[in-house]
Amino acid sequence: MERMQQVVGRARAAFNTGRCRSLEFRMQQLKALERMVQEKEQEILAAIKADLHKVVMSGPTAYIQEIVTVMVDLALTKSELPVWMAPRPMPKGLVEIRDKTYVCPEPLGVVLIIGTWNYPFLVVIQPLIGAIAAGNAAVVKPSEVSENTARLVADILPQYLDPELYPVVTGGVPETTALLTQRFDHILYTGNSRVGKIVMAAAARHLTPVTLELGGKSPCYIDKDCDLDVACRRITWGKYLNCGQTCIAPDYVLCDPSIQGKVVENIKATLLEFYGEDVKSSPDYERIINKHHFKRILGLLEGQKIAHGGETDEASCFIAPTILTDVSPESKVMEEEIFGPVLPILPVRSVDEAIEFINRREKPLALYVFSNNKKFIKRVVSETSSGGVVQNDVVMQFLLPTLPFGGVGNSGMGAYHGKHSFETFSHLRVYLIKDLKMEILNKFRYPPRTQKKVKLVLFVLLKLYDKGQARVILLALLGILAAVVAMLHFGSCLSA
Amino acid sequence: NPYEGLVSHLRRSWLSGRTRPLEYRVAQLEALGRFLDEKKDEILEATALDMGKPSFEAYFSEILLCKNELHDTLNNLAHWVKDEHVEKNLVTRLDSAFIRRDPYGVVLIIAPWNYPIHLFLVPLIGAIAAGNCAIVKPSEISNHTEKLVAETLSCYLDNDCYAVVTAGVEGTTRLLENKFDYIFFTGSPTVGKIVMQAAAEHLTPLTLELGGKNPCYVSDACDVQNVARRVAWGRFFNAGQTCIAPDYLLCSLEMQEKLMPALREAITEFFGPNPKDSPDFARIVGDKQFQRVQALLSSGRVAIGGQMDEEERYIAPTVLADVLPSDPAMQEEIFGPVLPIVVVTSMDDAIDFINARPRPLAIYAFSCDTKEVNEVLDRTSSGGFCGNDTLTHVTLTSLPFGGIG
Repeated sequence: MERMQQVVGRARAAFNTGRCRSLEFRMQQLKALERMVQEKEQEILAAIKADLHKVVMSGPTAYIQEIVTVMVDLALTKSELPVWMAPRPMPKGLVEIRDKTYVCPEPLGVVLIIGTWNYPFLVVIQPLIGAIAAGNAAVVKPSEVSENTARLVADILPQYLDPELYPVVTGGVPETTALLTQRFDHILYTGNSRVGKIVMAAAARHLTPVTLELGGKSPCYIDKDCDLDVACRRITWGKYLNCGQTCIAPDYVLCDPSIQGKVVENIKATLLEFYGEDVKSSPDYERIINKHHFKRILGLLEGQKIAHGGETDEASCFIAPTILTDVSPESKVMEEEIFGPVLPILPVRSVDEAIEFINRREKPLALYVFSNNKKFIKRVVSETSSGGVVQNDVVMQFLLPTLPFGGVGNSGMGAYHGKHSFETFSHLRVYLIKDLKMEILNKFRYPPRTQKKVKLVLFVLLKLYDKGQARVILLALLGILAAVVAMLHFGSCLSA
Repeated sequence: NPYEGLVSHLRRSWLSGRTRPLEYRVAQLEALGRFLDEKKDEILEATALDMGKPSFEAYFSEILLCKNELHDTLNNLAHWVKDEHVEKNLVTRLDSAFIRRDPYGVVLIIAPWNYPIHLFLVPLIGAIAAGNCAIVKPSEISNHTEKLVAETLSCYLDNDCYAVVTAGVEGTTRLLENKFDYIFFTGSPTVGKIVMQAAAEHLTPLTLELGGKNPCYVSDACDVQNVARRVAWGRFFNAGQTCIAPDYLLCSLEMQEKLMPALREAITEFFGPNPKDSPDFARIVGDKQFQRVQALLSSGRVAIGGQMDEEERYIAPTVLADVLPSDPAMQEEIFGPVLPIVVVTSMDDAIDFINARPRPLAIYAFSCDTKEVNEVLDRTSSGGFCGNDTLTHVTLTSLPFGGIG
C-alpha cells in the first residue's frame, strides 16, 4: 500500500511540474517509445513467446499482432498529435458574436493502465501511447499471468521513458488491489467483466472515469447464402489465432442446420491448410497460457459432440483446434467466454431465432455476420447491439486505428486506438472568452425584469426550429449584402 | 424489486425496436416541445412554489434554454445519426469502415431540484434523439415540479418507452438495483459516488454532472462596475442555487475594497433597496438547505446583506469579506446567495489557491488584460472556463457541458 502511494505520489508530483504537457516533451517520449520497440524487438518477441508459445517469424504472429500494431499507432499519433492538441473553435450564436468559444483537450493527470495476458505487450503499450500523447503521467500495470512480458516491460520502459512519469508496477491481485485504492484521473482496464466491475467500483470511490475493455461471447452468424469456403477460412483464422485467446475471436457459430456439416468440413480443410496434419508440431499454433485456463477449457468439452479435434496434452497446455456441433444453448460452453480453440456450432432455423438468441445474451464485443445478402446483414445488425460489427470477415476491426475499439454493456465501456486513445485520456475543456466592454448588451439579462427585456432576450436567444427556411433566408440576406458591397465598391472605383 | 416490472416493460419496448426510426424520435421530441409550450404556466408556477424562482429566470432556464436544445437537436438530428466513415489503410482499402451511433437501450436520468425541468429535460432530449427508452427520476425536493412532471409528461410521450418515477432516497436506491444501459446523474459528488458504485454492479456506463466550488479571480486591472454586475448576476441567479455559480471570489485587498461599493450598487440595481420585495430574487428550496447555508455565514465578516427570514427561506444577497480558507464557507459548495471574498496577494497566489483544491466545474477570471485571463486559463484545470463573465458558457448548445475529477 505504501509502495503504491509512493509510486503514484511521485507520478503526480512529476505531472504537477507541468513537464509532460508540451508538444515537444510528448513527441520526445513517443519517439523514445518507438526506439524501445525497435531496439528491443527481439527481447519483446522472446518474452511473448515464452508466455504464449508464439512464433516469431511468418504469419499472423506476435510480430504483426503486437509489434506492428504498436508501430502503426505510434506513427499515426506522432503525425497527427499537433492537430489533435489544437483548440477547436465552436459555433457561436448572435450573443457571442464578439467572444471566443472553443474546446481544448487537456491532460487528465495521472492515469492507470491495467493490462491482461493474451496480447501482453500490446494491451499496455497501445493505451500508453494515447496517455503520453494526451499529456498525462501513467502508471502501467502489466498482467502477472504473462510474467515474462511483465518483467521485460518493467525492465525496459524506464530505460527509454521518464521513469517518474511512467512507472511500471508488477504484481498480482494484492498489488493491483492496493494500486486501486489510490486516486487516478482515468483507469483503462483490459480483462474480464468480473474484474471490470471491481475496477469500476474502486474507481467510483474517487469518481474516476474508466475505460473497460472486456469480453464476452462474440457470435458469428453464417447465412445459407454465402461463399462458405471463404467464410470458413476467415472464421478459422480468427478463431484459432493465438489459440483462441483473443477478446474478439468469433466465440461461437450460428447457422442453419442444413449447412452445419459443410461448415465443419470447410473448417477442417482450412485447419489442415494452416497447421498441417500434426497440429502439435506446427510452429504456427500457440498454447494455452497456463494450467488453470487449460483445465477450464477442458471442462467446457464435457458432454459435447466433438466433430473435430479434442486432443489435449496437459504438460504443454496444448488443446487441438476443436469443433463442437449441435451444441445446446444451456450447456457450459455457452455460459462463459471460451477464450480457447473450441468452436461450438449452434443450429438456428431462422434469422428471427438467431437475433433473439443473440439479444437474450449480454452484448458482445464483436458481432460477425457472413452473407451475400445485404438486406439480411442489415437486419441482423440493426436489431442487435455489440461493441463492433464485421460483415464477411472477423477480427479485422482491430487493425484499423481510425476505428474506436471498445465494447458495450458487459463487453465494456469507452474505446481507444489512435485518436480515440488521445480523446479517452483528455478532458475537453470548454472556453468562453469575453471582454469587459459593451456592457450595455448585458443589460437585458439583469434584473429588474421588464416585459421589454423579456421580449428582447427571446428575440436574441431563441433558436428557431429551422425546417430549412432560415438557411434560405440567411443566404438571401447575404446575397443582398454582397450585391450592396459590390455596388458600393464598383461605384467608388468608377468615381475614382 | 419494486421497479423490476417497469424496467422490464421498457426493455421489452426497447427490444421491439420502436424507438429507433428517425421519424419516431422526431415525433417524441416534437411532443416534448409541446409539453414546454402548453405547460409553460404550470412550470413557472411549480418552480415558484418550490424555490420562489422568479418567472423570468424560470422562463429562461426551464423553457427557453430547453427549447434551444430541442430545436438544435431537431435541426441537426438527421445529420448526427449518419454513419461516420473513417480513413482506411491499405488492408481495408476495398472495404467500408464506419462508426455508427447506436442507442444504448434503457436509460435512467436522475435530476436535481435547482433547475428541475431543465436538468431532466435536456438529458432526455439526448436520450430520445439517440433512440433510447428512458426513465426520468425528478428530484423529490422540488416536489411541486416533481408532481407536475409525474402527472403531465405521460400525456405527451409514448408511455411504453418513457416513464417518470417519483421516489426519495430509499426508492432511488431500489431503482438503482436494476440494470440500466446508461445512467445520467446530476447532483452532488457524494451521491455521484453512490450512483457510480451501483452502476459498477451492472457495468453500466454513466455521465455524472456534479459540482464543486467554482473560483472567480478578479484582477486589479479591470472595470470594477462591469465585473461587479456580471459576478452578482451569476452569484445571485436562482438565489445562488446553480452548479456553475461563481462560488467564491479571489482578489487583492485593494480590489476587495473597490468591489464592495460596486457589488452593493449592482445588488441594488438588480433587486432594489429590499431584495425581499423583489420579484426577481428566489428563495432557498427547503428548510434543511436554508439551515445549511445559514451556518456558512459565520465566515469572515458580513459586508453586504446577511438578512434572513426563516419562514420564507429568504437569505439576502450577501457578500462576506476577509474570508479565510479555514472558514465554514470555504469547506463546501455554498449553493446559496452568499459570496465569500478571499484575499490573495497576487495572480500566482490565486492560481496556487485554485490548484491546491479539487478541480471545479467552472473557473472564472476577470481582467482587462487578456494575457492575465489566458494565464489563469493555462495554469488551471476545470470542467469549463469563462473569461470576463459568469454562467454564459452553458447557454451555448454547441459547447459540451461537464466536469472533471
